[in-house]
Amino acid sequence: MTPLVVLDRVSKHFGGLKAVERISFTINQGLITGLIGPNGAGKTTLFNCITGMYQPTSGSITWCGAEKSCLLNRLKPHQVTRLGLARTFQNIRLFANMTALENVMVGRHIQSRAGILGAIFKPARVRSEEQEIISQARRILGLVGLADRAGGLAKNLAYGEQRRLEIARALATEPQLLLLDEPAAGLNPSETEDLDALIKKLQQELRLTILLIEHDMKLVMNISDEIVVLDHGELIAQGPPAVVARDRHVIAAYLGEEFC
Amino acid sequence: MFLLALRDACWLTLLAFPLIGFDLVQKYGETGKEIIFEWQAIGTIFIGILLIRLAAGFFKRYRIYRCPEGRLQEAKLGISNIVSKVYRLFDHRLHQRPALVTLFALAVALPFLPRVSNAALDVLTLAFIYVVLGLGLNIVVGLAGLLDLGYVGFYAVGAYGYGLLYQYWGWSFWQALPACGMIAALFGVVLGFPVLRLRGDYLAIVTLGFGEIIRIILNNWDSFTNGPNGISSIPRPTLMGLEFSRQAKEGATTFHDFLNIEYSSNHKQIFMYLLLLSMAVFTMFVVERLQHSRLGRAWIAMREDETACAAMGINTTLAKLSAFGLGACWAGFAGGFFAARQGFINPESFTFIESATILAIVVLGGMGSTVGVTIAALAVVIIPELARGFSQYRMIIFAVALVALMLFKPEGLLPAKRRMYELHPDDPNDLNHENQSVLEVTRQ
Ligand SMILES: Nc1ncnc2c1ncn2[C@@H]1O[C@H](COP(=O)(O)OP(=O)(O)OP(=O)(O)O)[C@@H](O)[C@H]1O
Ligand SMILES: [Mg+2]
Repeated sequence: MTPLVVLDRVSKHFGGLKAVERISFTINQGLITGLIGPNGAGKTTLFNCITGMYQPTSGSITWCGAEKSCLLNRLKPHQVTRLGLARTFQNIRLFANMTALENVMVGRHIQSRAGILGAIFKPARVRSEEQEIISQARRILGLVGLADRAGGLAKNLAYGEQRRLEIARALATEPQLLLLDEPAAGLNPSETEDLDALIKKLQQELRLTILLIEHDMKLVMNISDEIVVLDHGELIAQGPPAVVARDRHVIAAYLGEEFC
Repeated sequence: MFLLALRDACWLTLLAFPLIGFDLVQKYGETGKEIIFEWQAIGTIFIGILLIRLAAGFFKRYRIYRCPEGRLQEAKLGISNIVSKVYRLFDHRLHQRPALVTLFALAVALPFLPRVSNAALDVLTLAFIYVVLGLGLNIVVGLAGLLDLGYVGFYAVGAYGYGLLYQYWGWSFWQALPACGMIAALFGVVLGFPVLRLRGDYLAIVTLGFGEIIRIILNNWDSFTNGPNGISSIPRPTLMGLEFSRQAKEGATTFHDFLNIEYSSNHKQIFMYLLLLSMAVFTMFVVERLQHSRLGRAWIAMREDETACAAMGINTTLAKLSAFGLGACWAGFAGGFFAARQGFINPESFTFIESATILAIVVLGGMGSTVGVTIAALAVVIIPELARGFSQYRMIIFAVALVALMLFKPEGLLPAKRRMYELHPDDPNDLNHENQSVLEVTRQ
C-alpha cells in the first residue's frame, strides 16, 4: 500500500481551544478513508489544514503525489488544489448565480491556459480549449447524474443536486485525492444510496483516493476501507470498519450501544 | 391580463409624470413661474403603455419556452405557431448579432441625419465616455464583485496622463491614449495590493480614500499638475494626422483643406462622436468576451464565493489584481478621451460624485450585464439633459427615477443572464458521458 498523504502530529489550536491535537495517520492510495467523530471533534478543521485553508499550529502534512512530494503546511488553497487535491464543503458553497455547467467549467480552470489576450482575441487555440472545457464539464455532469440540469442556475437546483454538483466541480480539477465533507448530510435514504454508488464508482473507475467525513454510519461502514475516529480533536481509533465498530472508546464516544 | 396592464400603465404614468407631465413657464412681466400641466402628453403615454403592455402580455402567453439546455423549443400551444416563429427570430442568440449591427449602423448614421444638432451629438459623445467607464467598473464591481468607490481616481489618472504628456513632452492624442490606459492599469494594480484582504464595506471605504487621495494630489501638486487651475488647450484628436481646426498648426494639414471642402465646426463634433462610438462598441466587445472567458468565469466565481473559488485552484490574488488593473485601464482610456473632448481638465471634474454616478450606472444596468450597463450609461447621461427645462428640479427628478427603478427592478434594467452552452448533437463526446470517465481520457 502506497501512502498519498502522511499526517504527522498535526495540531490546530484556536487560542486555547485545541480543535485538532497531535493527529497522525496515513491516507493510502486508492482507498476510501472514512473520518468520523461527534460534532465539534475537529474533522472539518483537519480538512481545512490539509487543503491549505488553515495553517496547522504544528506538525507536518506530507503529500506523496505521482508527480512530486512536498509539505502541504505552508501552501495556499489554490496551490494545494493544483497539486491534485480537491474538496467539497460541509455547508454547500456553490457559485450560486452561475449555471451548473459553468460551476464545473470553473473547476476546469487549472486544466486550461487562456489568459487576458487569449480571451479578447480568441485565437483557434483558445476556441478549441473552450470547446474542450465545455465538453469535459458536460461529461463530468453526466458522471454525477446532472446532465439534464446543466443549464439551471446552481441556486435553483434541489439540495441533493447541489451536493452532487459540488462533487462534480471538485472532480473537474482532476484530483488524485478527493476530500468529501459530509456529502450525505440532508439527503434522503434513496439519495444516500445513489451517493454511495457514486463514491464507489469514483474509487473504482477513476482510481481516486477519497477522504470522507460522514455522520451516516451505514454509508461510512459500507464504503470505507479504513476509518479514522476523532474525538475532542484527538485520534481515538483507526483501522478497518469492522474493527473500529467494535472499539470500546469509539462506542463510548460516538457510536452508542446499538452498534455492538 | 387587462388588469395587470392597467396597473403597469398607472405606475409608469406616475413615474413619467414628473418628467414630462408639466412645464414651468415664465409669464411675461410677472415674477415667479407658472405650472402648466400637459394632460395630452400624459394621456398619450398612459394609452401607449397600456397598449404595449397588452401586446406584451399576448406575446408572453404564446411564448415558446427554453429547454434546460437553452435551445428554443416549439411551443405546443396550438395556433401560436406563427407567433412563436417570430419570437424565435428575435430571441435566438444568432439573431442578436444582426440586431446589434443594425443598431450600430443607425448610431453611425445618426450625425448625418438632418435636424441632429451639435449639442445633441455632444451629449451623446459624453454618454459614450460613460459607457466606457460603466463597462470598465462593471469588470471590477459587476464581475469580480469588488466594491470600488474610488474608480474616478483612475479616470483622473487617464485624463491627466494625456494632459501632462502633452504639456511636458508634446505627445499627440494617439500617442498618449495607450499610455493613459497603461498608466491607469498600473495604478489599478498598485492600489490593488493593499486591499487584497479587504471585502465589502471595508474595501469600499479604502478605495473611496484612494480616489480622494489622487484628486487631492492633483489639486495640490502645483508645480507639476498646475493645481486647481488644471491643464488647458489640450489638443483634440486628429484623423490620421488631419486636424479639425480652422487653421492648421505649423506643418499640419486640416481636414477641410485635405478634402477641399468648407470648414465647419460640425466635422469636429461628428468625428468625436464617431470616435467615442467606436470606443464604446470596442469596450462592449472586449468586456463581453472577457466575461465569457476562463478569466471572466474566475472573476464571477470569486464574486460568488471566494473560498470555493480558491479551492478550485484559482489564484484569487491574481484574479483580483487583474480585475482592478483591467477595470482601471478602461477608466484610463475614458480619461484620455475626456481630456481630448474638453480640451481642459482640472481636479474638479474628478470628485466622488463621479464615482457614485458610474457605480449607479453599473447597479442600474444590472451588475455584470454588458447591454444593461450600456443602456444605463446612456440613460444616466441623457435623461438629466432632457430634463434641463426644469433646471434645479432635474436632479430631484433623476433621484426619484433611480429610487423607483431600484424599488421595482432591484436587479437592474437588464439583469445579467448566464450564457447557455448549446449541446452539439453531432458531438459524440456529449452523448456517452455515462461510461467514459473524464479523468482517464485526459490523463493519457
Ligand atoms: N475558525 C475557527 N475559529 C475558532 N474556533 C473554531 C474555528 N473553526 C472551528 N473551530 C472550533 O473547532 C472545533 C472543531 O470544529 P470542526 O468544525 O472541525 O468540527 P467537526 O468535527 O467538523 O464537527 P461537525 O460534525 O459539527 O461538522 C469546534 O469546537 C469549533 O467551534
Ligand atoms: Mg464539520
